[in-house]
Amino acid sequence: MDKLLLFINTAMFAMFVENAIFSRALGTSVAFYASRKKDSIIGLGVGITFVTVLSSFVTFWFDAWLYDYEYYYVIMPLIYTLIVSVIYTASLLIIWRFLPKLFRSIKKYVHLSVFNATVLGALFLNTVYRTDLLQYIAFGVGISAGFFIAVFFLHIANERLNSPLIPEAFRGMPIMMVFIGIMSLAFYALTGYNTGAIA
Amino acid sequence: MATAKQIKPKKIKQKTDFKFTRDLLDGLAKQNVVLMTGIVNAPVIIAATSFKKGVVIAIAFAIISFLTILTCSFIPKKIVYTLRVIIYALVGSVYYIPTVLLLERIFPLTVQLIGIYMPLLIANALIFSKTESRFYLESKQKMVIDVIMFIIGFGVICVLTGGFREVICFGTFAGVKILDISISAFEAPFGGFILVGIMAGMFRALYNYLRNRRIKQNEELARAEALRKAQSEKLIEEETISEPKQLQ
Repeated sequence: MDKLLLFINTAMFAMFVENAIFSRALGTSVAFYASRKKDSIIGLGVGITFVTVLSSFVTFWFDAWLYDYEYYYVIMPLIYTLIVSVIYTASLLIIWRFLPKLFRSIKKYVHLSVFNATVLGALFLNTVYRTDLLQYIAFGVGISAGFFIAVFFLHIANERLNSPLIPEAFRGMPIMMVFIGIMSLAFYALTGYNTGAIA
Repeated sequence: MATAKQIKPKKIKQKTDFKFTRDLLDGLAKQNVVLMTGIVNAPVIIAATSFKKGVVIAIAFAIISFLTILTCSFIPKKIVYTLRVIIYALVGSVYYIPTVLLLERIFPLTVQLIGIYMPLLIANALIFSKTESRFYLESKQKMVIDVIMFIIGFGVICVLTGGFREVICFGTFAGVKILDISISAFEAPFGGFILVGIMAGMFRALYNYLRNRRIKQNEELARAEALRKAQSEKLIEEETISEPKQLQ
Protein backbone atom coordinates (compact mmCIF):
# COMPACT_ATOMS: atom_id res chain seq x y z
CA MET A 1 0.00 0.00 0.00
CA ASP A 2 2.84 2.35 0.93
CA LYS A 3 4.52 1.64 -2.39
CA LEU A 4 1.34 2.45 -4.28
CA LEU A 5 0.93 5.72 -2.39
CA LEU A 6 4.55 6.61 -3.06
CA PHE A 7 4.03 5.85 -6.76
CA ILE A 8 0.92 8.07 -6.95
CA ASN A 9 2.60 10.80 -4.93
CA THR A 10 5.65 10.89 -7.21
CA ALA A 11 3.52 10.77 -10.36
CA MET A 12 1.36 13.66 -9.08
CA PHE A 13 4.50 15.63 -8.22
CA ALA A 14 5.85 15.14 -11.73
CA MET A 15 2.47 15.91 -13.29
CA PHE A 16 1.74 19.18 -11.50
CA VAL A 17 4.83 20.54 -9.76
CA GLU A 18 7.32 19.53 -12.46
CA ASN A 19 4.84 19.78 -15.34
CA ALA A 20 6.68 19.21 -18.61
CA ILE A 21 5.22 22.28 -20.31
CA PHE A 22 3.99 24.68 -17.64
CA SER A 23 6.90 24.36 -15.22
CA ARG A 24 9.77 23.16 -17.38
CA ALA A 25 8.92 24.18 -20.98
CA LEU A 26 10.06 20.75 -22.16
CA GLY A 27 8.87 19.99 -25.67
CA THR A 28 6.92 23.20 -26.16
CA SER A 29 7.28 23.11 -29.94
CA VAL A 30 6.04 19.50 -30.04
CA ALA A 31 3.13 20.56 -27.83
CA PHE A 32 2.22 23.34 -30.29
CA TYR A 33 2.31 20.84 -33.12
CA ALA A 34 0.30 18.20 -31.25
CA SER A 35 -2.33 20.64 -29.97
CA ARG A 36 -3.62 21.28 -33.50
CA LYS A 37 -5.25 17.85 -33.92
CA LYS A 38 -6.91 15.56 -31.42
CA ASP A 39 -5.41 12.46 -33.08
CA SER A 40 -1.86 13.71 -32.74
CA ILE A 41 -2.40 14.50 -29.03
CA ILE A 42 -3.28 10.87 -28.36
CA GLY A 43 -0.60 9.50 -30.68
CA LEU A 44 2.19 11.64 -29.30
CA GLY A 45 0.96 11.22 -25.72
CA VAL A 46 1.06 7.43 -25.98
CA GLY A 47 4.44 7.51 -27.75
CA ILE A 48 6.02 9.83 -25.20
CA THR A 49 4.62 7.85 -22.24
CA PHE A 50 5.87 4.55 -23.64
CA VAL A 51 9.40 5.78 -24.37
CA THR A 52 9.73 7.81 -21.15
CA VAL A 53 8.58 5.01 -18.85
CA LEU A 54 10.70 2.36 -20.53
CA SER A 55 13.75 4.65 -20.69
CA SER A 56 13.31 5.61 -17.02
CA PHE A 57 13.41 1.93 -16.12
CA VAL A 58 16.64 1.37 -18.07
CA THR A 59 18.37 4.61 -17.03
CA PHE A 60 17.84 3.72 -13.37
CA TRP A 61 20.30 0.84 -13.72
CA PHE A 62 22.82 2.96 -15.59
CA ASP A 63 22.53 5.69 -12.95
CA ALA A 64 23.05 3.13 -10.20
CA TRP A 65 26.12 1.83 -11.99
CA LEU A 66 27.77 5.02 -13.20
CA TYR A 67 26.51 7.81 -10.92
CA ASP A 68 29.71 8.05 -8.90
CA TYR A 69 31.90 8.37 -12.00
CA GLU A 70 33.40 11.89 -12.05
CA TYR A 71 32.42 12.70 -15.64
CA TYR A 72 29.10 10.92 -15.70
CA TYR A 73 27.20 14.16 -16.22
CA VAL A 74 29.21 14.72 -19.42
CA ILE A 75 28.57 11.32 -20.99
CA MET A 76 25.04 11.04 -19.56
CA PRO A 77 23.33 12.59 -22.64
CA LEU A 78 25.15 10.15 -24.92
CA ILE A 79 24.13 7.17 -22.77
CA TYR A 80 20.52 8.36 -22.53
CA THR A 81 20.36 9.00 -26.27
CA LEU A 82 21.67 5.49 -26.89
CA ILE A 83 19.05 4.01 -24.56
CA VAL A 84 16.25 6.00 -26.17
CA SER A 85 17.52 5.07 -29.65
CA VAL A 86 17.57 1.36 -28.86
CA ILE A 87 14.03 1.51 -27.44
CA TYR A 88 12.87 3.56 -30.44
CA THR A 89 14.40 1.16 -32.98
CA ALA A 90 13.14 -1.95 -31.21
CA SER A 91 9.59 -0.57 -30.88
CA LEU A 92 9.58 0.53 -34.52
CA LEU A 93 10.72 -2.89 -35.68
CA ILE A 94 8.03 -4.59 -33.64
CA ILE A 95 5.34 -2.25 -34.93
CA TRP A 96 6.61 -2.58 -38.52
CA ARG A 97 6.58 -6.39 -38.26
CA PHE A 98 3.27 -6.93 -36.48
CA LEU A 99 1.24 -3.75 -37.08
CA PRO A 100 2.20 -2.47 -40.54
CA LYS A 101 -0.92 -0.29 -40.82
CA LEU A 102 -0.08 1.50 -37.59
CA PHE A 103 3.54 1.86 -38.70
CA ARG A 104 2.48 3.66 -41.88
CA SER A 105 0.26 6.07 -39.95
CA ILE A 106 2.82 6.96 -37.25
CA LYS A 107 5.91 6.96 -39.49
CA LYS A 108 5.68 10.69 -40.16
CA TYR A 109 5.73 11.92 -36.58
CA VAL A 110 7.03 9.02 -34.51
CA HIS A 111 10.48 10.64 -34.17
CA LEU A 112 8.80 13.68 -32.58
CA SER A 113 7.55 11.55 -29.70
CA VAL A 114 11.00 10.11 -29.05
CA PHE A 115 13.67 12.69 -29.74
CA ASN A 116 12.20 15.62 -27.93
CA ALA A 117 12.97 17.58 -24.80
CA THR A 118 10.14 15.93 -22.81
CA VAL A 119 11.62 12.43 -22.94
CA LEU A 120 15.24 13.47 -22.38
CA GLY A 121 14.20 16.12 -19.84
CA ALA A 122 12.30 13.52 -17.78
CA LEU A 123 15.39 11.30 -17.76
CA PHE A 124 17.68 14.17 -16.73
CA LEU A 125 15.29 15.25 -13.98
CA ASN A 126 15.12 11.68 -12.72
CA THR A 127 18.90 11.72 -12.38
CA VAL A 128 18.77 15.06 -10.58
CA TYR A 129 16.26 13.74 -7.99
CA ARG A 130 17.99 10.34 -7.84
CA THR A 131 15.31 8.18 -6.19
CA ASP A 132 14.49 4.45 -6.29
CA LEU A 133 13.28 2.40 -9.25
CA LEU A 134 9.59 2.78 -8.42
CA GLN A 135 9.89 6.55 -8.24
CA TYR A 136 11.92 6.66 -11.46
CA ILE A 137 9.05 4.94 -13.28
CA ALA A 138 6.41 7.01 -11.45
CA PHE A 139 8.23 10.20 -12.43
CA GLY A 140 8.29 9.07 -16.06
CA VAL A 141 4.56 8.36 -15.95
CA GLY A 142 3.87 11.70 -14.26
CA ILE A 143 5.91 13.76 -16.72
CA SER A 144 4.21 12.10 -19.68
CA ALA A 145 0.76 12.55 -18.13
CA GLY A 146 1.63 16.18 -17.38
CA PHE A 147 2.62 16.70 -21.01
CA PHE A 148 -0.65 15.10 -22.14
CA ILE A 149 -2.70 17.38 -19.83
CA ALA A 150 -0.82 20.48 -21.00
CA VAL A 151 -1.30 19.63 -24.68
CA PHE A 152 -4.99 18.98 -24.05
CA PHE A 153 -5.34 22.45 -22.46
CA LEU A 154 -3.56 23.96 -25.45
CA HIS A 155 -5.86 22.11 -27.82
CA ILE A 156 -8.93 23.52 -26.07
CA ALA A 157 -7.50 27.04 -26.17
CA ASN A 158 -6.12 26.72 -29.70
CA GLU A 159 -9.27 27.76 -31.56
CA ARG A 160 -10.02 30.74 -29.33
CA LEU A 161 -6.44 31.94 -29.34
CA ASN A 162 -6.48 32.06 -33.13
CA SER A 163 -9.70 34.08 -33.33
CA PRO A 164 -9.83 37.44 -35.17
CA LEU A 165 -10.26 39.15 -31.77
CA ILE A 166 -6.54 38.63 -31.16
CA PRO A 167 -4.26 41.18 -32.89
CA GLU A 168 -2.79 39.65 -36.04
CA ALA A 169 0.82 39.81 -34.84
CA PHE A 170 -0.03 37.93 -31.64
CA ARG A 171 -2.11 35.20 -33.28
CA GLY A 172 -0.61 31.72 -33.10
CA MET A 173 2.63 31.17 -31.21
CA PRO A 174 2.95 34.48 -29.28
CA ILE A 175 -0.51 34.37 -27.69
CA MET A 176 -0.08 30.66 -27.02
CA MET A 177 3.11 31.52 -25.09
CA VAL A 178 1.27 34.12 -23.02
CA PHE A 179 -1.50 31.59 -22.39
CA ILE A 180 1.05 28.97 -21.25
CA GLY A 181 2.56 31.66 -19.02
CA ILE A 182 -0.77 32.27 -17.31
CA MET A 183 -1.40 28.53 -16.96
CA SER A 184 2.11 28.17 -15.61
CA LEU A 185 1.35 30.81 -12.98
CA ALA A 186 -1.73 28.80 -11.97
CA PHE A 187 0.37 25.64 -11.68
CA TYR A 188 2.94 27.57 -9.66
CA ALA A 189 0.21 28.55 -7.23
CA LEU A 190 -0.22 24.83 -6.49
CA THR A 191 3.25 24.79 -5.00
CA GLY A 192 2.56 27.92 -2.98
CA TYR A 193 4.67 30.29 -5.04
CA ASN A 194 4.37 33.91 -4.01
CA THR A 195 5.24 36.68 -6.46
CA GLY A 196 5.86 39.04 -3.57
CA ALA A 197 2.88 41.21 -4.51
CA ILE A 198 0.90 39.88 -1.53
CA ALA A 199 2.61 39.80 1.80
CA MET B 1 28.83 -2.44 -76.25
CA ALA B 2 31.97 -0.57 -77.14
CA THR B 3 30.00 2.17 -78.90
CA ALA B 4 27.68 2.49 -75.92
CA LYS B 5 30.68 3.01 -73.69
CA GLN B 6 32.05 5.67 -76.02
CA ILE B 7 28.71 7.50 -76.12
CA LYS B 8 28.43 7.60 -72.32
CA PRO B 9 29.20 11.20 -71.35
CA LYS B 10 31.88 11.99 -68.82
CA LYS B 11 30.76 13.35 -65.50
CA ILE B 12 31.50 17.04 -65.40
CA LYS B 13 32.00 18.57 -62.00
CA GLN B 14 29.51 21.39 -61.85
CA LYS B 15 30.45 24.68 -60.29
CA THR B 16 28.13 25.75 -57.49
CA ASP B 17 26.18 28.77 -58.61
CA PHE B 18 26.15 30.34 -55.19
CA LYS B 19 24.52 33.72 -54.72
CA PHE B 20 23.93 35.54 -51.50
CA THR B 21 20.17 35.89 -51.65
CA ARG B 22 17.73 37.51 -49.26
CA ASP B 23 16.41 34.13 -48.06
CA LEU B 24 19.79 33.45 -46.47
CA LEU B 25 18.87 36.06 -43.87
CA ASP B 26 15.66 34.19 -42.95
CA GLY B 27 17.19 32.72 -39.82
CA LEU B 28 17.78 36.18 -38.36
CA ALA B 29 14.23 37.51 -38.60
CA LYS B 30 11.66 35.90 -40.88
CA GLN B 31 12.19 32.42 -39.46
CA ASN B 32 13.79 33.25 -36.13
CA VAL B 33 13.65 30.02 -34.11
CA VAL B 34 12.58 31.74 -30.89
CA LEU B 35 10.30 34.59 -31.86
CA MET B 36 8.88 33.61 -35.24
CA THR B 37 8.65 29.83 -35.42
CA GLY B 38 9.09 29.10 -31.70
CA ILE B 39 10.79 25.76 -32.34
CA VAL B 40 13.65 26.31 -29.87
CA ASN B 41 12.44 28.13 -26.80
CA ALA B 42 12.87 26.04 -23.63
CA PRO B 43 16.43 27.25 -22.87
CA VAL B 44 15.41 30.87 -23.46
CA ILE B 45 12.23 30.67 -21.35
CA ILE B 46 13.60 28.73 -18.39
CA ALA B 47 17.38 28.99 -18.32
CA ALA B 48 18.21 32.38 -19.83
CA THR B 49 17.53 34.43 -16.71
CA SER B 50 20.73 36.45 -16.83
CA PHE B 51 23.04 37.92 -19.46
CA LYS B 52 25.81 35.46 -18.64
CA LYS B 53 23.48 32.46 -18.85
CA GLY B 54 22.17 33.75 -22.16
CA VAL B 55 25.72 33.98 -23.53
CA VAL B 56 26.64 30.47 -22.35
CA ILE B 57 23.46 28.94 -23.82
CA ALA B 58 24.02 30.78 -27.10
CA ILE B 59 27.62 29.53 -27.37
CA ALA B 60 26.69 25.94 -26.49
CA PHE B 61 23.78 26.02 -28.93
CA ALA B 62 26.02 27.39 -31.67
CA ILE B 63 28.76 24.79 -31.25
CA ILE B 64 26.48 21.77 -30.86
CA SER B 65 24.02 22.72 -33.61
CA PHE B 66 26.57 23.84 -36.20
CA LEU B 67 28.86 20.83 -35.84
CA THR B 68 25.99 18.34 -35.68
CA ILE B 69 24.21 19.74 -38.74
CA LEU B 70 27.45 19.92 -40.70
CA THR B 71 28.52 16.38 -39.77
CA CYS B 72 25.09 14.88 -40.38
CA SER B 73 24.90 16.49 -43.83
CA PHE B 74 27.32 13.75 -44.98
CA ILE B 75 24.94 10.95 -43.97
CA PRO B 76 23.55 9.37 -47.14
CA LYS B 77 19.91 10.12 -47.89
CA LYS B 78 19.38 6.44 -48.69
CA ILE B 79 18.96 5.81 -44.97
CA VAL B 80 15.34 6.55 -44.07
CA TYR B 81 14.73 9.59 -41.89
CA THR B 82 13.14 7.46 -39.16
CA LEU B 83 16.59 5.92 -38.61
CA ARG B 84 18.72 8.88 -39.66
CA VAL B 85 17.31 10.86 -36.76
CA ILE B 86 19.04 8.45 -34.34
CA ILE B 87 22.41 9.34 -35.86
CA TYR B 88 21.60 13.07 -35.50
CA ALA B 89 20.87 12.58 -31.79
CA LEU B 90 24.01 10.53 -31.22
CA VAL B 91 26.25 12.97 -33.11
CA GLY B 92 24.74 15.85 -31.09
CA SER B 93 25.45 14.10 -27.81
CA VAL B 94 29.03 13.35 -28.88
CA TYR B 95 29.64 17.05 -29.64
CA TYR B 96 28.05 17.94 -26.31
CA ILE B 97 31.00 16.36 -24.44
CA PRO B 98 33.80 18.74 -25.57
CA THR B 99 31.38 21.68 -25.60
CA VAL B 100 30.38 21.31 -21.96
CA LEU B 101 33.96 20.59 -20.86
CA LEU B 102 35.16 23.74 -22.63
CA LEU B 103 32.38 25.95 -21.27
CA GLU B 104 32.83 24.58 -17.79
CA ARG B 105 36.43 25.74 -17.82
CA ILE B 106 35.39 29.27 -18.79
CA PHE B 107 32.05 29.60 -16.92
CA PRO B 108 32.01 26.86 -14.25
CA LEU B 109 29.18 28.22 -12.10
CA THR B 110 26.96 29.34 -14.97
CA VAL B 111 27.06 25.91 -16.63
CA GLN B 112 25.98 24.36 -13.34
CA LEU B 113 23.14 26.87 -12.95
CA ILE B 114 21.80 26.14 -16.44
CA GLY B 115 21.39 22.53 -15.31
CA ILE B 116 19.43 20.13 -17.50
CA TYR B 117 18.89 22.74 -20.22
CA MET B 118 22.51 22.36 -21.26
CA PRO B 119 22.31 18.68 -22.31
CA LEU B 120 18.83 19.31 -23.69
CA LEU B 121 20.41 21.42 -26.43
CA ILE B 122 21.21 18.18 -28.24
CA ALA B 123 17.48 17.63 -28.75
CA ASN B 124 16.77 20.95 -30.44
CA ALA B 125 14.43 21.27 -33.40
CA LEU B 126 17.06 22.98 -35.56
CA ILE B 127 18.83 19.60 -35.75
CA PHE B 128 15.77 17.36 -36.01
CA SER B 129 13.33 19.38 -38.12
CA LYS B 130 15.02 22.24 -39.95
CA THR B 131 17.71 19.96 -41.37
CA GLU B 132 15.18 17.95 -43.34
CA SER B 133 12.84 20.77 -44.29
CA ARG B 134 15.53 23.30 -45.25
CA PHE B 135 19.25 22.86 -44.67
CA TYR B 136 19.81 19.53 -46.45
CA LEU B 137 17.88 20.70 -49.49
CA GLU B 138 20.46 23.44 -50.11
CA SER B 139 24.01 23.32 -51.49
CA LYS B 140 26.72 22.90 -48.83
CA GLN B 141 27.94 26.49 -49.15
CA LYS B 142 24.45 27.93 -48.83
CA MET B 143 23.63 25.54 -46.00
CA VAL B 144 26.62 26.65 -43.92
CA ILE B 145 25.64 30.34 -44.18
CA ASP B 146 21.98 29.52 -43.56
CA VAL B 147 22.79 27.51 -40.42
CA ILE B 148 25.03 30.31 -39.14
CA MET B 149 22.21 32.83 -39.66
CA PHE B 150 19.74 30.64 -37.74
CA ILE B 151 22.27 30.23 -34.94
CA ILE B 152 22.92 33.98 -34.79
CA GLY B 153 19.14 34.57 -34.76
CA PHE B 154 18.81 32.31 -31.73
CA GLY B 155 21.91 33.65 -30.01
CA VAL B 156 20.89 37.30 -30.26
CA ILE B 157 17.42 36.66 -28.83
CA CYS B 158 18.79 34.40 -26.09
CA VAL B 159 21.37 36.97 -24.95
CA LEU B 160 18.88 39.86 -25.19
CA THR B 161 16.24 37.97 -23.22
CA GLY B 162 18.79 36.97 -20.60
CA GLY B 163 20.06 40.55 -20.28
CA PHE B 164 16.57 42.03 -20.11
CA ARG B 165 15.42 39.52 -17.51
CA GLU B 166 18.50 40.21 -15.39
CA VAL B 167 17.75 43.93 -15.48
CA ILE B 168 14.10 43.61 -14.48
CA CYS B 169 14.63 40.77 -12.02
CA PHE B 170 17.68 42.03 -10.17
CA GLY B 171 18.37 45.51 -11.50
CA THR B 172 21.78 44.38 -12.76
CA PHE B 173 23.33 43.84 -16.18
CA ALA B 174 26.15 41.32 -16.50
CA GLY B 175 26.48 41.51 -12.73
CA VAL B 176 26.76 45.32 -12.57
CA LYS B 177 24.05 47.19 -10.63
CA ILE B 178 22.30 49.67 -12.94
CA LEU B 179 18.74 50.00 -11.60
CA ASP B 180 17.08 49.85 -8.23
CA ILE B 181 14.25 47.50 -9.21
CA SER B 182 13.51 43.86 -8.56
CA ILE B 183 10.59 42.01 -10.17
CA SER B 184 11.54 38.45 -9.32
CA ALA B 185 8.47 37.00 -11.09
CA PHE B 186 10.24 37.31 -14.43
CA GLU B 187 12.83 34.81 -13.27
CA ALA B 188 10.14 32.12 -12.95
CA PRO B 189 8.99 30.06 -15.96
CA PHE B 190 5.67 31.92 -16.22
CA GLY B 191 7.55 35.19 -16.45
CA GLY B 192 9.69 33.70 -19.21
CA PHE B 193 6.67 32.47 -21.15
CA ILE B 194 4.84 35.79 -20.91
CA LEU B 195 7.95 37.80 -21.77
CA VAL B 196 8.87 35.65 -24.78
CA GLY B 197 5.23 35.68 -25.92
CA ILE B 198 5.06 39.48 -25.79
CA MET B 199 8.48 39.79 -27.43
CA ALA B 200 7.37 37.43 -30.22
CA GLY B 201 4.18 39.43 -30.80
CA MET B 202 6.04 42.74 -30.91
CA PHE B 203 8.75 41.31 -33.15
CA ARG B 204 6.13 39.98 -35.58
CA ALA B 205 4.29 43.31 -35.57
CA LEU B 206 7.53 45.16 -36.35
CA TYR B 207 8.49 42.63 -39.01
CA ASN B 208 5.03 42.85 -40.67
CA TYR B 209 5.15 46.65 -40.56
CA LEU B 210 8.59 46.78 -42.19
CA ARG B 211 7.60 44.16 -44.77
CA ASN B 212 4.38 45.97 -45.68
CA ARG B 213 6.28 49.27 -45.93
CA ARG B 214 8.84 47.69 -48.23
CA ILE B 215 6.10 46.16 -50.40
CA LYS B 216 4.35 49.54 -50.57
CA GLN B 217 7.60 51.30 -51.48
CA ASN B 218 8.33 48.73 -54.17
CA GLU B 219 4.82 49.13 -55.57
CA GLU B 220 5.18 52.90 -55.64
CA LEU B 221 8.57 52.63 -57.32
CA ALA B 222 7.15 50.22 -59.92
CA ARG B 223 4.21 52.58 -60.54
CA ALA B 224 6.51 55.57 -60.91
CA GLU B 225 8.74 53.60 -63.27
CA ALA B 226 5.75 52.55 -65.36
CA LEU B 227 4.52 56.14 -65.50
CA ARG B 228 7.94 57.41 -66.55
CA LYS B 229 8.16 54.73 -69.21
CA ALA B 230 4.72 55.62 -70.52
CA GLN B 231 5.59 59.32 -70.59
CA SER B 232 8.85 58.73 -72.44
CA GLU B 233 7.05 56.51 -74.96
CA LYS B 234 4.45 59.24 -75.47
CA LEU B 235 7.23 61.80 -75.99
CA ILE B 236 8.93 59.63 -78.60
CA GLU B 237 5.59 59.13 -80.33
CA GLU B 238 4.95 62.88 -80.37
CA GLU B 239 8.43 63.55 -81.70
CA THR B 240 8.02 61.02 -84.50
CA ILE B 241 4.71 62.63 -85.47
CA SER B 242 6.05 66.21 -85.34
CA GLU B 243 9.28 65.45 -87.26
CA PRO B 244 7.61 64.85 -90.65
CA LYS B 245 5.58 68.09 -90.16
CA GLN B 246 8.79 70.06 -89.65
CA LEU B 247 10.27 68.51 -92.78
CA GLN B 248 7.24 69.60 -94.81
